[in-house]
Formats: sequence, structure tokens, C-alpha cells
Amino acid sequence: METFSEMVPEEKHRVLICCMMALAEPPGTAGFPNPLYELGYEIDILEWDAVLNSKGEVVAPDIILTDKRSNHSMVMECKSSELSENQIERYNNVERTDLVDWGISSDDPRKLTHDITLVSSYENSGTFFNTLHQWNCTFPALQVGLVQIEKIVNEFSREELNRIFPIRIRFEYIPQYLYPISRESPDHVVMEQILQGLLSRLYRHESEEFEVDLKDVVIDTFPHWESMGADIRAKIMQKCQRIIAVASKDDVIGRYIEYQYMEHQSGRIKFRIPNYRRTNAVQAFQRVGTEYIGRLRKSYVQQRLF
Amino acid sequence: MQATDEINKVKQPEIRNRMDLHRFLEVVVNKTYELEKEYQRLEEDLNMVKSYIIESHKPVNELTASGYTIRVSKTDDPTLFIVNFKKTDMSKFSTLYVDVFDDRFWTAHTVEKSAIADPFIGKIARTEIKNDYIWLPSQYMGRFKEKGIPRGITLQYSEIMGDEEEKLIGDLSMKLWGTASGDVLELFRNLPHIKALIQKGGEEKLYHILDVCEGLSYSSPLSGIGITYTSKDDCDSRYVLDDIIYKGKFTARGGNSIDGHLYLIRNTKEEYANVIRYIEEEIAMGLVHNSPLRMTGHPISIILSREIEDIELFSNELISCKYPFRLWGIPRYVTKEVVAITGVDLHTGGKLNLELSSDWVRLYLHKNSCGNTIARLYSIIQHHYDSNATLEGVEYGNLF
Repeated sequence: METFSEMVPEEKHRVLICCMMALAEPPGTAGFPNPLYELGYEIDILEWDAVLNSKGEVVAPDIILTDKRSNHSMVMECKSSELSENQIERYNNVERTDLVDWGISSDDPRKLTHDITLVSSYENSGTFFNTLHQWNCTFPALQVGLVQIEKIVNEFSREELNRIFPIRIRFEYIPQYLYPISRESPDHVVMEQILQGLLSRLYRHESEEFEVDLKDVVIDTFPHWESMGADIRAKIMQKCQRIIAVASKDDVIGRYIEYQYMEHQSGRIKFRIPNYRRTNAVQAFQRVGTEYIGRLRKSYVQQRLF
Repeated sequence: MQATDEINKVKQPEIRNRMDLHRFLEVVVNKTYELEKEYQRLEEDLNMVKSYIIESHKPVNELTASGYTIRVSKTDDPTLFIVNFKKTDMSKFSTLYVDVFDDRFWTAHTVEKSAIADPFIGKIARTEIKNDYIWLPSQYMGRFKEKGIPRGITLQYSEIMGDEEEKLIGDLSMKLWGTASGDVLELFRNLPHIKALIQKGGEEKLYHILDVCEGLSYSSPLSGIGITYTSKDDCDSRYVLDDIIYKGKFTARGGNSIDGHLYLIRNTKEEYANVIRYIEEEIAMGLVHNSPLRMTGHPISIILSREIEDIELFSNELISCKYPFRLWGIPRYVTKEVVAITGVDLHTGGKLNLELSSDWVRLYLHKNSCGNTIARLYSIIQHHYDSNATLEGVEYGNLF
């Protein structure tokens, strides 16, 4: 797997989201602390397209964590790139009633308070900190490092939150399957999920081949498909069409996947593992899949480096 | 020999309903104990009542097992079926009475010898898609002691992970009979502490033995338990001697109460099914599409007491696609010590993602995947790598 620094910004963004989600996960995520869950926070909303603030401006928080009993929400924006003054301004204009309109519920919505919380990784902390300073940003900001999550500037309105930092972690233990794929994930991550989906379908169908619309595979791969806007869906579909078309022409993985492109439609996949019930047949598919994903990953890392 | 012949040639009566089945099983249970006592015969030789809990996601008339010919017949009761089976190259059919009142967790009763029934059930559970054993973890097996008077325990361990040099114990199987058997098991599990105490004394030559002792602590899963179950407040002293195996096999070794045997099965099945449903409803992960978008479920982790020294080797065994794990997966190495696996359970086709470190295995079960996947993986790790492994991921109490 590529290291964090080799990832595209969007993939880093996904990892930061996973990290924040994990802090509010119930027990079960071994090796990673969950102090926000212990304080009462739950994951309320995950990566929206966009919502409106009190001034009618668009904001797109990555994740909102809410402690219903304390009527407090953390509206989180994970940053893997620069933060603009305009973005800060828009978040400044987020009010309690906006959160209620977005569907955040608490024991007493009239008493709901919130903190906009900015999150960055150890990699861009310098520029991130400078930007906050430059724009006189008052939001609490967290930095995810290799061994701890620190609050680097400003205070939360809820005192208990200020006390839990720094949180000791191991960066490599961030549970990445909490949010395994985002709309910007690189080809090898998407392909991995597609292969998993195809094999799962084959075993559920109990037949050595089946045909399916690519669209159904894509919906299966991106479980938050329903909540995406039309433009994003179209982009994802194009990306998946490209990924599958390339795979179907590959000498090795192409033996399992046929793809027929159809204009104005997603196209149709024929997936086949001869003698799929035999261990060696499914082992062979595993070897081929792993090798193919490895090639995609290698080419992705090289593209990132050069 | 007259009595032995009599039971060996148990005439399989015509079973038309549950009442017929109950009567038939009761007769066999009553005879079994006397015969076993008199002739000291082993289970394989006797036609004891054996009942298997099987998980199935298919109707009984779709039951198949490669290498077997199967005939399914109805009874007057729509939830009770007779399944006749024989190896394709054999001539004689054997019989199972399959209770599908719970259409997912069936109970298959038989009086066939274990040598005939076990391989058939094994074939269904091990190789057929959407059929499986139930997998009672060691901790659950231990609680049978509270359900009846313990008579003995069975430990079965077969190390399949790690390279040969790492295997200190390899395969281990033993039966301990008598009331002290639980204490002996407890002793095994405390051996690392004993080792630490002796090490303080600096006895070098004992170290190898001590290592073996430590190995025993993670090689002693409770695979089987024998109990005497007595019905509560029963003035007629009705009881049954039952042996329970962790893969959901119940053998009535005798007594005078088939009801006790049936109660143990029903009670286990209900408790197990409740846990599996809890896993599927509360733990399996998905997204709720109502606005706003919310996540449901959460990961669950197997905590190991025995460190994994070679993650790659362990991970390769886990996703070898072979029995017992039957997991397919594409591994991603986050670091040398952490691997993430995008996987599929080949028992059911369900999606399962995993993350492994030297101390834990995180499991992310997808919504609509089968909860038995978690129980199987957990139980197999106990029987093949670390019998002290625990499953964590619920806020209050334990899953099993």
C-alpha cells in the first residue's frame, strides 16, 4: 500500500475522515481509541455534497459528530489541501438552525450548540497553521500525527473536549474500512471493491458466470450513491467505465471480465470463474486480482512521484 | 449380545410427524446408556441419538452434497422432513430427520452411527454454499457447565497458522473426564503465570517444558463438553447424558429424557440465533439512505493473547480460500505490521473486510452478510491459533 505521503489529496482526505469517525466509534475498533464515543458523540453525517448555511452559502462538512444528550455537534472539515478565507467565512455563518435543517437531532434542538472543527494531517500542519493565523480563524483545529492527535489552536466551546487532547494513536492503526472508498479514490481502490462485489455476487448466485449492468456494480461499490448529486454520479460512472474497460482488455484479469460499452447506458459486465466452487479456481482468481491491483497501485504511485 | 444386536439394528419406524419422532428418539435414548455401560462401547459403534444444528440459507429440498445421493421426503408436518442420503457409490441409504421449524437454523436428528452421519453433515457444512455449522466459541461451551452437571471435556486444537518452527504444540486433542476436568483446563490456561514464577527461579533446563506449558495455554479450546442434564424441579429424576461439540453436534449418550436433549438443543439454538441476528442487525455495517446520510453498525475485533509474529504468513493462511476459513481476499499492506484485506466469505458470498495487526483482527461485516461468518472466524481462530482469543465490540457484556 502506498504511504500516506504517496496518496492523492483526496485519498488522504478519506483517511482523515476515517480517523475522525474512529474516535466516535463504539468499542470494537481494537488498537484505536474512541474518546469522543465515550463522551457521547455519534457519527451523524458523512461526506455530503453540499448544504446551505444561514446566509444561503454552500458548505460541505465531511462529517458531523453529535452528542445528543449534551446538545453539542462537532462539524468537521478535514483538510488535505489549503484552507481559503472564503471557506472559513462560510463556516462562520453556520448557525444552530442550519444544523437542525440539515437533520441533526439532539435531546433539545433549541439548545444545540456546535463547534466547527478543522482537521489536518501532520504533513501540511505548517501551512495549515499559518493560514488559520492569517485569516484570524477561531475554530478549534486538530492535527493528526503519527503518534497523536493534537489540538493545535483555539478551544472547543465544550470544556470536556479540550481535556481529551492530545489523544495517543498509531497512525497505521487508523481503521480505513470505516469509509473504504470515496468518490475520488484511485483506480486500485475502486477496482479492489469492484472485484469484491463481483465475486460476492457470483457466490450468491451460485453460478460460474453472470451478467450485470455496470451501474448495479457501481451502486454496490459506492454505498452512498443515493446521496450523491447527478454530476458526481456521472463522474464516478465514467471512471468506473474506464477502469472496467481497461481491466477487460488485460491479458490476465480480462479472462474473468468482459465489458460491453453501450452508449447512454452504463454498459454490461459478464463475470466468469470456471469451476468457481473448486478451491484452486478461486485461488487463481485471487492471485490474478491481487497481482492486477498491485500493478494499478504501482502505476498510481509512480504517477504521483513523477 | 442380544441387546446389542437389537440397538445396532434399530428399526427406523415410519415417521409421519413430531410425535412419532419424539417416541422413536426416546426409545433409543433409553436403550443407549444401558448398552454403553454394559459393553463399554464407543460412540462410533452405537446408534445413539445425535442431533446437529445446521445453518442454512436454502430450503431443505435444495439440499445437496457432492458425492452423495439425497432424497428429501415430506411428513405430515410441514416443518419436518426426512432426508435419506447415501454415498454415490454405496447402496444403502441412511436417514436424517430434519426439523426446519426455524427455517435458518435447522436441527437434524439421526440414530445413524457417527461414522456415517458426521461426514455427511460435514460435507454439507464444509463445502456447500449457504450451509454451515454453528460455531460455538470456547466461552459459550464453558457455560454448559451451568446448564448441567459436567461429566467431562474435550480439547481439540490443530495449529494451521504460522510456520513449522513457530508451532510448539501443533495438533493436540484430549478428553478429560470427571468433575475435576474443568480445574485441569483452568490450570492449562494459567500456565504462563506458572512459567513466569518458575523463570524467576532461573531453572534453565525447564525452559523448553515451560514453553510447551505456555503453548498449552493457547492450545486448549473447549471443543466438547459432556453434561448430565436434569430437568428442573422434576420429582421423577428425569435426566439425559449429553455430549456437545462446538460445531453444534449433540449426542444423547443415554438417560430417560429425550426432552432434556431437545431442550438443550433448542436453548442453544435460540441463544446462538439471537447473537447472530444481533450481529447482522447491530454490527454489520451499512449506510442509511434517509437524509441525512448515516452509518449503521461498527467493526468488531478478535483480541489475541498470542502475538502474530509473521503477519504475511498469517494473512495468507486466512485468505487461502481453503477450509476452515474459506475466505477470499486481496491484501493491502499498510505497514509490515498491519494488513488490510478486502474479502469475501466463500461460505455465503458475503463481504467481509479485515485489518490485522499482531494483537488483533478487526472485522467489518457488510450489511446483508451472514453473522455466522463472525462466529466461524472467531471459533476457528480459537481452535487453530489462540484458544484464549476474545471477541470484543459490544458495550455491555459479551456476544458469546
